[in-house]
Amino acid sequence: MPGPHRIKNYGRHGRGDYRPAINSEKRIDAAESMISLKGLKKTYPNGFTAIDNLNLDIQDGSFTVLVGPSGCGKTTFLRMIAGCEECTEGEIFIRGRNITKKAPGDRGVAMVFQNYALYPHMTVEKNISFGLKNYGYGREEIRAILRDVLELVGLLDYAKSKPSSLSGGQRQRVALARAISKSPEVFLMDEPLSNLDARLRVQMRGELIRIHQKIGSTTIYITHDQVEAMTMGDCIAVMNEGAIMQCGSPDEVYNNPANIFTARFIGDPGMNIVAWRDGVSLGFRSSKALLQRPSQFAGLTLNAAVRTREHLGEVYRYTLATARGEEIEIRNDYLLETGRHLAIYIRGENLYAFGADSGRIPTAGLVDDAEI
Amino acid sequence: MSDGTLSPKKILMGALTAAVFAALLAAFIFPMFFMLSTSFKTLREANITPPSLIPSEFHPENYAAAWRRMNFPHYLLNSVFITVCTIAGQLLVCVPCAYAFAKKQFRFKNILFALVLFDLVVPAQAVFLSYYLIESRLGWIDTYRGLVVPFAYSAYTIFFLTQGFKTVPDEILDAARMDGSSEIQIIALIMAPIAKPVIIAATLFTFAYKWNDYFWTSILTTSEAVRTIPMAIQNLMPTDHTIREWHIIMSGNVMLFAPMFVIYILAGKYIKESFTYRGGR
Amino acid sequence: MNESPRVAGNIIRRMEMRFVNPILKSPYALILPALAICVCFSVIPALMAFRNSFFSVDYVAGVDRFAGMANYRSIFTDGAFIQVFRNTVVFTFFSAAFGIPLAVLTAVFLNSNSPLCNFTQGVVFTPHVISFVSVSTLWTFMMDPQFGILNYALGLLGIRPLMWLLGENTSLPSIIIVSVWKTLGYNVLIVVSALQTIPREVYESAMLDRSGPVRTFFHITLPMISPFFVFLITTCVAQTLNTFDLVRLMTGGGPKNSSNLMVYWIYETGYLHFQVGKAMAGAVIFLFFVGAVSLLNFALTSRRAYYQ
Repeated sequence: MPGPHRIKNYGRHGRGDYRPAINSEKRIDAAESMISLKGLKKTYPNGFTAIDNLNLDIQDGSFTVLVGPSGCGKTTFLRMIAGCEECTEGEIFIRGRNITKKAPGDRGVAMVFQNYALYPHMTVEKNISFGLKNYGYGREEIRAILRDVLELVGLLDYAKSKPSSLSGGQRQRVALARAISKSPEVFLMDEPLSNLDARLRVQMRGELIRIHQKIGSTTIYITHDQVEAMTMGDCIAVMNEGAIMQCGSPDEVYNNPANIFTARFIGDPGMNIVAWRDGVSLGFRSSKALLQRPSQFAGLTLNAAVRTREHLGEVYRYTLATARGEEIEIRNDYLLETGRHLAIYIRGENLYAFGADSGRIPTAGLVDDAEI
Repeated sequence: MSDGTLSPKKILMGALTAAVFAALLAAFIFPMFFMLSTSFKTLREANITPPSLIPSEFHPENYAAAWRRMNFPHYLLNSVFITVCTIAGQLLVCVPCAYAFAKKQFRFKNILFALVLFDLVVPAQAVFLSYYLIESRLGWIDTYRGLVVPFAYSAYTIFFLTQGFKTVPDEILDAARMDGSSEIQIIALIMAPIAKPVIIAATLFTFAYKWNDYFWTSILTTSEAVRTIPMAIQNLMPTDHTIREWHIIMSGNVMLFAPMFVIYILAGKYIKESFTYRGGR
Repeated sequence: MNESPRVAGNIIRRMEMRFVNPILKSPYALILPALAICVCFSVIPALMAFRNSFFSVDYVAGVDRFAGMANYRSIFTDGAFIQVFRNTVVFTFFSAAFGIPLAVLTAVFLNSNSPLCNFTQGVVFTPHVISFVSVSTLWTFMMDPQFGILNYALGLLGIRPLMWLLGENTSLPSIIIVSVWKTLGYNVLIVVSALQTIPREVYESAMLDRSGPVRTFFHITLPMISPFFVFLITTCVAQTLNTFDLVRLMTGGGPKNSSNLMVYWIYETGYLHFQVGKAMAGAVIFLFFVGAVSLLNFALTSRRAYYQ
């Protein structure tokens, strides 16, 4: 059984006997998935509904990235799992136990906050041991855990430092160490890298994945950056306006988007969508747009005019306007003058079709020779 | 900027600046100096014209006399006890209250906050008579609790602490909750240490207020039993129209003056802050 | 390591989490103590004052009956109340009229980081942390008509000695002087902290515009610290309106009520002379007056105030 205490696997002492009181709950059904959210709803006192009827199952040991534009309710969602926000409706199960009404400290979850949320008046060591003491660990155990987690994040030399003397990256590591130290069943991470500069972010991204692989705890990671989502997650949940739009592997959400929102949101650039007929829209990735009609072409021919051109180095980024005024983006190394009218060609197998409800519909036989 | 030459205009400005400094310092240092000087004089020298600035002979025994006649130790102990209890009471009552108003969402919050800040609008001095009536009905006149319990609540302290607590990020409190902290731990181990400057400032303000309080003590007490040092000097004032022994009175006044003055010298920066914080919203 | 303290600690913690914490989680429980004291000692006294102002109350004789407007009538036919009310207005007005401009001038003069300025600021602030009792005693001594150093100083300037606290015409100005002396340091502190919010660039551009010191003061400094005046005037007025200690300790309201102020009058009437209903009627009128003044004050100053 993949226990929540993977920390012992790397731990020097190798003991598995310490465990937070939080895990003493009876397990109702161990066969269920790690986290299961049923009909979650959050309405704020001012009447704003941040989350409506959200259902999601998260697999044990997975690194699930919840991605969506800002204001889509993803932070609220995470805080509900953490217990920092009450659920208006619905239930949350972790490994089959209903934790909907439990206090944040009794849920077996740990959280890494966007702004680190370190206790500014405590040293790194105290920051980590504060929670451990609350869980009733003994002094020796705490010392051992401290050494392990600080070593894991590479901050052994900073045990006695105050957060104010650390850099942003180091603070994030302390926050991480603090979360790991409690060997939780679930890690929650709320845009943990967004306060770091670009280079450090890439470096920490790799480090987070390394740590995840090492300790293997289920992780829910929140970001608004779809690049981060694609590179880090083994499961991506796309969220919009308080609802999960699609949930699947990075491959799946990129290559097989379930709806227009996901298609547009995932990928850089997002998918181009143009209206076709009978409420059906067609979508294609900009990399699949051809400027010359290939032989034996079956697919979509799109007439458009070049509106703007940007030099990205290797390629140019063009925005084009169709006859109906819809904007699409393509990238190509051809030099095109702005204002020029041209036709672009997309093969049938590279086309996606979406119905009137913006949900995906089969393309097969639909578009053999279409022209817009 | 200075080119080394002294124009008449510059000399005039310099003299004017010096004169203003001299006037300010004289207006504020001289009375205190004169008090100190008189406290060492004899009765005769304290009442002569022209007054002498420096006593011709020093009589430190004036202090012993004032100490004895004021029954100073009794009042000092009362002052220390009542001030310490009031501060402790305010921390127990106002800190949790400010925490709730700063960090929790609940129904009727605005109404309750307005109610708790009632005192900022209605000057308690105007309705002290009802205060007195309530305390006498409770049998609290001339008791320590009568001088402590009502003052464990302070609208000003609550307002001030609430403003300070609001600046502590919610995430830190959430992190503490996820660390399994109880509310007491969150208040005492997370909120209070982070907002320490605010708490120190509020405490110093309460200290100065309570230590110097004359009004409430004179209304809520009728005998020496629980009176504090601001009341002590009355014991040096003649009740009939005999001559005032200013040298002894000034010795007593120096003793009243000294504790606050020493604290002001030591913690002046914090005290000034605690007073200016009232202005910075 | 000894395990028993840890076990004991764990039990206490478990009890706390089980029994205390669920209660303290409720914000209402957290504000309850403060709210209870507030209601008992602030709200109820105010309501009682209102109620008793319409009653004839005598606790010695055990009388407590409805008296209609009798109390209000009696204070308006009583010349003393009118005089005390006028005194209070005069006292408050002149304390502010002298105190605040003086504070602004002093603050502008002392607004630099030189050691002399900081020291002088500290000295000027000292009276504010000292009790009214100390200050009153000190000034009563200096204002003694016979031996007081103030009369001696006037003599040196060739001015006839004054009666100070003992004269009908001088008693109120005397306590105004003491009040201004005691509060000046606080007002200076507020103005200095206001002055420090003015960015240096503003002064620099004023200099580039060839604005002299006086013009700069009236057209840059004053408008930019004006938001603080709302606060400064409000606290100054609230403090001086509620003056009690100075009157009680220095003049006892005399001679002939010439230095009597509202709060002391309430004290005298209700506390020393046991005319509770009449005192409460005065208190209610006073409360409405204080409320009206602070509203007026706020309306006048905020209209003219400069905001970013």
